[in-house]
Amino acid sequence: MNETMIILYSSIIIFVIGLYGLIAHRNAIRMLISIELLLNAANLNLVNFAHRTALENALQAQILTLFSIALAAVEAAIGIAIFINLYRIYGRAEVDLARELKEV
Amino acid sequence: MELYLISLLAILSLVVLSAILSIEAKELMHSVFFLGVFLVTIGALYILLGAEFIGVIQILLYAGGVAVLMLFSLMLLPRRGEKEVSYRIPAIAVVMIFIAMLFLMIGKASPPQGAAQVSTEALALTLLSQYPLLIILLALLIVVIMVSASYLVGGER
Repeated sequence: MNETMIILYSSIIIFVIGLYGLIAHRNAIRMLISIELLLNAANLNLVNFAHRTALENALQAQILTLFSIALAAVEAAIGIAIFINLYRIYGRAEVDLARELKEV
Repeated sequence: MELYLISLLAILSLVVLSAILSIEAKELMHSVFFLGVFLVTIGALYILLGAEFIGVIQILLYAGGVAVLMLFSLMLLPRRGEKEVSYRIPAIAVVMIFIAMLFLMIGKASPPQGAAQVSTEALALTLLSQYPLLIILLALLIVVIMVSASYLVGGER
């Protein structure tokens, strides 16, 4: 088993942990943490395979990873803005509470 | 080579451990701290895999941006007791199905052979000469997100 496969399996483990957290928890911040875990597992796979391919593909994979990191940061910012509004309206940030689009 | 493998395994075990703790810590604050540890160790892994620029960007943007953003928003928000509604059994079922699916697919795969040394200079040249439009679009998106996030948080005033 070489290093590529070891990192592949451990990124599967990270992805599975994130998937479990995303389904098992209803707290919004915990769900956001799980989404970050999922995105990081995907990015880790991209960088891992970029290490083992031709130079052209490696460059494109690393650029894709850069954009993915930037988009994940943006997604966390907008998610936290929404969750602060959830706290204001309902007092807790549980996603089950948010059933109405307008303010209650 | 041996040292490389040992450090790889050490960092990977730290990554998996901090991922589990960031999901399962009782306090929300602790899980955000473990998320920070997780993100920094992933950055170390990128540097070990020869992607130095991405590792630095990961530590700057994730550990310095996302984790700190979560930490500050948790500190600003009022602390109330978390009502723990959790769906552990459906989560475990979905995870089992997912693992079975993945291992069916991975059994057919063969590990890639080859090695690419990506220098930061080549990365910058490719990024700025082939994808300038994407960078401009990303900048526009970030401006839109900044305006909309500040509107969402402070919209009542």
